Amino acid sequence: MQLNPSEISDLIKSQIEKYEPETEARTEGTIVSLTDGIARIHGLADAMSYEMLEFPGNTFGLALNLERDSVGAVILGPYTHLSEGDSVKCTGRVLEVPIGEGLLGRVVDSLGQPIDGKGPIEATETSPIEKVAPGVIERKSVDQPVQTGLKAIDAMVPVGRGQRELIIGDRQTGKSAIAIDAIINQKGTGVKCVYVAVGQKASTVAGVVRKLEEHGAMEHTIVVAATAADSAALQFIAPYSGCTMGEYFRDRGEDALIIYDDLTKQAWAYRQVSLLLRRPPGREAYPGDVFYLHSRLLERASRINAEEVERITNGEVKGKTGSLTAFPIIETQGGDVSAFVPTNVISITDGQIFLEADLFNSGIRPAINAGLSVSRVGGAAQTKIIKKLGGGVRLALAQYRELAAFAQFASDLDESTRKQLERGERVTELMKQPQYTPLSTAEMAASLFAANEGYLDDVEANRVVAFEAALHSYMKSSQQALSEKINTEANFNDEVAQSLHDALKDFKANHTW
Amino acid sequence: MAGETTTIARPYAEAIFGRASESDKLDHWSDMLGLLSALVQDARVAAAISNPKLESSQRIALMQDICGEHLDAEGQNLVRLLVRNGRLGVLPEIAALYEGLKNESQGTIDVQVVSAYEMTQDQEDKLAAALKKRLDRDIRVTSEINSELIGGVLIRAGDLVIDGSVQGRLRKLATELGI
Repeated sequence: MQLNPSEISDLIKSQIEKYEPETEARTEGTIVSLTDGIARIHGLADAMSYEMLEFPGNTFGLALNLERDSVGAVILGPYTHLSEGDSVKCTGRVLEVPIGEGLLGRVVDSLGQPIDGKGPIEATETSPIEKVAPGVIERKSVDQPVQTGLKAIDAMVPVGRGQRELIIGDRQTGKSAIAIDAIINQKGTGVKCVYVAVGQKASTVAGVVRKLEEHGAMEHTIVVAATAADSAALQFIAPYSGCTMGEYFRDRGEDALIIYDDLTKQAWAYRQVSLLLRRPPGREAYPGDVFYLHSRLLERASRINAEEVERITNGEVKGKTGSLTAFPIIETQGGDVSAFVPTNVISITDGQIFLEADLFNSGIRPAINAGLSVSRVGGAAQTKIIKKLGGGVRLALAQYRELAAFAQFASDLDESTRKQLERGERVTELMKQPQYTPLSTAEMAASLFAANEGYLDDVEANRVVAFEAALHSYMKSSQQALSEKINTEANFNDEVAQSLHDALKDFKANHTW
Repeated sequence: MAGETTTIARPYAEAIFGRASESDKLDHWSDMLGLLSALVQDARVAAAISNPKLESSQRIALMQDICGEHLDAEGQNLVRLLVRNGRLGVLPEIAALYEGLKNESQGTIDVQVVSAYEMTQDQEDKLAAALKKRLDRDIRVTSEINSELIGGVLIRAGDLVIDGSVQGRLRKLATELGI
């Protein structure tokens, strides 16, 4: 870790100011056994559930099992220096992480400690990682959109601020790619992002951070990383830590977006901890509370009303609602969504984006299955113009896929079926979008409008991608006023429709693709 | 002191305590359990009682021979019971739990005071009075000297640890600074 000298002395100064040499009275226990990061401790009669325990050598643990004669605790971090007979102290505090603006742009571990070599975190406040989600009275319904910048998602499965939208699919189907694009698209919108990486390779996390930096998206993002090398305990608490950091913004009347990448691995880590704590295994060897593990986490992603924000901030922020939108990611094995954890999370969330390996391999990226992907609340929150123009896309695509499979066996088709197939083929092409290129509302509207109004019908299916790219650059260079208008007002009326008609006619007449 | 043996020892300790209160022999039982637990912790005895060649009756005889008249009839019954259940090994735990129960019923607690330097009688009295008030019990103080504390005192009463030593403060400062 690189530190400049002033930082060190500032740190020491603040620590000395805070330091109170009070005589401490704490309960103490003894480690009886220590296996695989789980310590069984005798004593500690008044330990609380989820209390931080202090082990020798500046090591901390988390009391999870409170039994009659012993306490089962997971050790957060390395534990090779501990041994049987070491004394363990209660700290009287539940596990907390630092929160605040100072975390933005930083990469931290599950405990909020920096791991990016940029010095200490400038955060004065801390907050417990486990909190109860806002109740019914404090909430407000979701009616503002989160633009992911991906046509396929914003048109077919729109996500609102405060929604929980699951991203589910096999390995290598572009789950994380969607999440990263969504983060990049939040640049300049004021939405703060938290990316929680659980059980991933450290190299993958480093790659994500580098991509975010390249696209200027790190300034509004916190990365919480519990890599595959970290202990299972750290992997299992990482989503809660990230959620607490995101809630800071929600509770101050801002909007935040959190990505849990991925909850399957978190469930694995929790299963490991639970089995080592000798809790009884259930289906697929997960403990009995694996549903609650995810439901209590995802309930915290919510939109809260202005009164609640005012109450939390003691009247500092007035008239603003706060939201925390969650994109949990679940990895399936061989497309099996009926496994234990996928079904649980599907039932908890407000919809899912279902990614398919077959689509991905046939070049349709993002590989979204239009039939199985839904958003249960997003329609109310969709941008007006996209809602109007993209309304039929999901249904049309789903029907096209069915028809296409059926039409393979038919020798000659009637006119309307053939037309539907051709339209579907072009819309499928249109929904393709390369990574790291989120689109603005105007660009998306132009593409959807072209498809709806039949401007694509005389474009060869394999030229649709090129057509769209040329159209976007035309919109950018020659139709600035119109783009600006759509981006700011996001409204669709006859005037906008006429302007789009004119623009497309002009484009088709004078440009090549 | 292992968590699991505590669970095994608890019913024995509670039973003995119940019997001792009924027959008003709390101190007598205390002595007997102290002797027995010291006995099974002795390396030679421990080796003998865990020797698989020995039969249960021989083990009982061995224990009774060593204890002689220190064990009364009920004490001998306890030994027999423990041998039959194969629980002689938890005797130290039973003794500790029994002492805890006894202290609780008598409203006393054992307090260990560790200090860096030897304390004067006046200091000890003051400390004892303060602890009595804090813990709301009669206390039995055992003191110890450990120069590693550098200064101040460290008080242990059961699970509760009151760390007023210089060493403890330095360690706390180190934790605050993250070293």
